[in-house]
Amino acid sequence: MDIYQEFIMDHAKNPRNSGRIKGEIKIAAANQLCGDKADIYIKIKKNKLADIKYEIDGCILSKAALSIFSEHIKTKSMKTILKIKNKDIFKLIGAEPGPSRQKCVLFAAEAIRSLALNRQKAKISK
Amino acid sequence: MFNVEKIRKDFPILKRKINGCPLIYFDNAATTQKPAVILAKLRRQYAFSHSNVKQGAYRIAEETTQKFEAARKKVAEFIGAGKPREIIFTRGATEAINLAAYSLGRRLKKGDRILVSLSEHHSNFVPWLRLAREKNLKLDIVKLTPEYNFDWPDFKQKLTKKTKLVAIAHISNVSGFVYPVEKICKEAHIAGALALIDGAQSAGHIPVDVRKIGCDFYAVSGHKMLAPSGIGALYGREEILEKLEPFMSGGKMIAEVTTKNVSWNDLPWKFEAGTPNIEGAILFGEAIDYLSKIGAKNIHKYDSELLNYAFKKMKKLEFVDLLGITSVRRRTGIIPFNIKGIHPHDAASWLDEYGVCLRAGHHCAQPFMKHLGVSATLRASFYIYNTKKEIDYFIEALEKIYPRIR
Repeated sequence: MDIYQEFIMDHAKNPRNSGRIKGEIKIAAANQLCGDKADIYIKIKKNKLADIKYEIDGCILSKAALSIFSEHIKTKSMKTILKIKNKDIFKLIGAEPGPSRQKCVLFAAEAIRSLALNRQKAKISK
Repeated sequence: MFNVEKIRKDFPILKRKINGCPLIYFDNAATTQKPAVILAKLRRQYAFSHSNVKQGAYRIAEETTQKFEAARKKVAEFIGAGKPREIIFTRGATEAINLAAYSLGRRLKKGDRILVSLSEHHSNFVPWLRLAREKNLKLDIVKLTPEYNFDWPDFKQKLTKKTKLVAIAHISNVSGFVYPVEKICKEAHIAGALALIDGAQSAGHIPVDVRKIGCDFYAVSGHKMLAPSGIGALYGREEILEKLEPFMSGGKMIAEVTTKNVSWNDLPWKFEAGTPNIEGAILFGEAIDYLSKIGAKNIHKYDSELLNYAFKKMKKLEFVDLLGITSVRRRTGIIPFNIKGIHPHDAASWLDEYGVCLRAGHHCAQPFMKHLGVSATLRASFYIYNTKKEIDYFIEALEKIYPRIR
């Protein structure tokens, strides 16, 4: 599994869903290991992820992973998003990088999942 | 005579292949490799002499204690300390600085100022930032010149009568600049401040003489100079160490304990609570023997040769961004750079395919990175076993990976 295969390079060079959504939820995700950052904009309707956009400053892996992940989760319910495991994300991008690069793939997805988790917790406590 | 081919034979790791390519280890500012003789001695010490130190009245305990204290003497001599009792063994340079921050911090008062530079490694930045926050001190930060060297006029301006401590690296772990530590310590003392020098990148790389530098504290890392990881040392001037409270508490650092009271052991043991990294310290001494045979001056000279050679070659590559550093003057073999249009992590992964080990990241110097206007850089750093041939190979690897982004 080459982490720089064509599929990943294509998503890194032509990121899907990149941009901004005004007036909706904004998540600031960061990879503490290298300082890469992503601002992720999310629109939720009836507990479904109606739209997602983002601005990312990062490496090929992080750009491609967020692009692929955003395509995957768009229109899915927050409950489904919460169930996505790390290994599912590696399957989605078609590569499992070594330990030093896994955070590149996961940091934006982790931020989105933690938003989903916090919303679920808030709902339960209501 | 510096014989790199002979030196290379001492390092088993250099025989390794990565993806069928020779291993080119250019991450020496992070940690250095270990010669076979050190590894053999480590095994022998654990296998046939291991015991605790400073307590057993039997043969192997005496042997081990003797070797442990002999290692302290070697460290003292290697960095020019007057007495072995001025050398405290620590887990590394980080712990050495934390020890100073803790023990010195107890004597600082609200409004006192500490002066560091913008390029400090987090290990010589965060302890002071934390101390300043906890004790209401002011942390002043010396700026860098446009070429990222130490800004002397800014230092002079920020050094005031309220400055109680100046804490500066001898060599920047990001840029490789050698800072004018002698002058810094002299000025600090005139202002009435103490001076701590972070020597993590300098001991074992350039000649170090703490008394000539005139510092009050000097932090050393063992694993960055051939010793195993988990060992380092803090040099402290005797009369200052005498006045300071211990860092950690426990066994070996006490003179007497009653149910109500405790008195401290003599220097340096007052600062060495608990069973130390015995084998680490002994092997630190062995590493010093190994390096002393080559000679610190020769090591520095060879390092400069590698730096000159690599820097000249890298300058010619138009896709290499040397981050504004234009010369090798007053620098050691550490080269920070980026490849235009390629994120450092991708570049490091691609270089790894050719067996080239480089650091990509913020180098534990985020304030410096922010100043550079980047989140991360690549960094090539050399040591005694690296060669010009390896640099040629590295340059070729750079030329191969660059087109991959196009």
